[in-house]
Amino acid sequence: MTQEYHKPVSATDDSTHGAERSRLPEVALRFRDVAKRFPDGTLTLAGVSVDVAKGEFVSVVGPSGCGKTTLLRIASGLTRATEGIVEVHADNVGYVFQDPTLLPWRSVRKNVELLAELQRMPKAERRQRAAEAIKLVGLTGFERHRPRALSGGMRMRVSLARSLVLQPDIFLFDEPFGAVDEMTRERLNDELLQLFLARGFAALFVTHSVSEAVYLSTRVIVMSPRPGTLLGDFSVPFDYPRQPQLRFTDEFAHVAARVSRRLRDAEP
Amino acid sequence: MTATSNVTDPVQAAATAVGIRRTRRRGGKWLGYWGPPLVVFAVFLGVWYLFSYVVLDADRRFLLPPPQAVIKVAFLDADNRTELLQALGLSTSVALTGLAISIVLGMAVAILMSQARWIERSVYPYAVILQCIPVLALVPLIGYWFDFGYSSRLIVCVMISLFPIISSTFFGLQSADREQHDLFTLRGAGRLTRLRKLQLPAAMPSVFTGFQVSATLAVVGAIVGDFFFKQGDPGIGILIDLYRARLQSEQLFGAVMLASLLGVVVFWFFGFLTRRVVGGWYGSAAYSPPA
Repeated sequence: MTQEYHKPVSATDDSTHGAERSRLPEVALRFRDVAKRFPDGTLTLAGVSVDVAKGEFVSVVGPSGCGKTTLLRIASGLTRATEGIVEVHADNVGYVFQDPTLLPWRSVRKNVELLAELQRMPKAERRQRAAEAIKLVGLTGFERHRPRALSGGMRMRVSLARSLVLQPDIFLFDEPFGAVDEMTRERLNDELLQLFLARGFAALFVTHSVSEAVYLSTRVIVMSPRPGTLLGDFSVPFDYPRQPQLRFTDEFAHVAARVSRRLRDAEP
Repeated sequence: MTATSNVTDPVQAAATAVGIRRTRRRGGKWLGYWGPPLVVFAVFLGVWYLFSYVVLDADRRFLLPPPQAVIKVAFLDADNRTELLQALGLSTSVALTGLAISIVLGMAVAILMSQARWIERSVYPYAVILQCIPVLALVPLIGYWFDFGYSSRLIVCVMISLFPIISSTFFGLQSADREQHDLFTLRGAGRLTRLRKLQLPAAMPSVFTGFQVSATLAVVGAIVGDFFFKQGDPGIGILIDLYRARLQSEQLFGAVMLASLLGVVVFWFFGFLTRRVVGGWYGSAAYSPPA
């Protein structure tokens, strides 16, 4: 049983000086034969190996209960793999949950400041970064609102802004737009891509929606039913920035169909 | 317009937020708001008069003296009024001091219980037992041990009002959900930070409900203790017992009214406090019926 959990190392820490390795993309997140068995005996993940390169957007699709969330929880350090190696090369890892997970007693601004506050960032800096993040997600003017007064989409934006404050190198997304309506979801997808292009983080994005996965990602990974293993790894051949019209093209439909077919083949 | 309506346009959303507040504040016309309770109050007075004057004969009217007689004898007579108000002052002091002790003690116990399973398992059963003991059965013992003065009254009051604070705080401290905890775990937050920034704020709605329940129980406790000790400076409880023995029914009713009033006032006050503290973000206070 090997467990090597590399606590976030500095992003500028460059261990790949070799001429040969420097041609390879730098890895932000690496899973090697990762397995997870819960104390009750359930095997959720079995031998998963995935790399996410710096600046890469990787989506994970798979049936319910195949361990997608567990993968994210392992990557974030919230839980440990029972087998395999996990490497995280980042100063800061952002985690966006399925629910916005806002603290209802805090205003938008105070919610956005929360993580920075927990990290003991000086107040002035925290203020300033929060203001920037709020602006970035388009919520300027809502700083004093409580989450209750916001729509689902706006709450999700607050949640995003909260993670953005720490300027993470890696973003983990656990089906963040699952609970908002289709229109809002597409809009949030575009906003997320803008952030991705502006900030250049690496992303591991879990979703149920194949079209969302294809639209956002450089790669889409398909997982099998529990215990989750890797069934497919599709490169998405579209350049950024992507336009909403992309969803209606034949090429898009073609890629989505390939992913969907693999996903359906996986069903027992 | 509701808070959950899906608005992505900031300007429109701001309008929605303002709209919610306006509907809540308007709250219907004066008559629509105060009318129904006033009607119920009038009916209540009517039934009271009916019993005093119609059902009861003149020589049995002491069982339920009419309202104006109660006011005249108990509150307009200077001596009687002073006696009642002094007793009310004493009972209020016992109730409020007892409540303060219950709040500090109860919250401390609940916070400790939330910190470790073993503390919970060793302490909680006693809290439950305390709640299950018929306090009246202990009143004579408390009198033996601590004499029949102010401190014994406080003890009775605390025993009666402590449990709701413990249980509501303890329950409230666990109301933060897993993902909120994960958020704190991810940033390496310690116990104290978690308690201060997540668990305690999340517990507030529940804690304040506990305060409200306890506050009325503290009033009950103050009067019950007084009623059974029958010694020392008279509070409302002693007066009630005295008036009953002397068949001074107008004053008896006056004492009952004051005791009820005290209960209502503390209940209302804590309701008000709850809305002030958590009304801005928490549920029921936020509910406004569809227009």
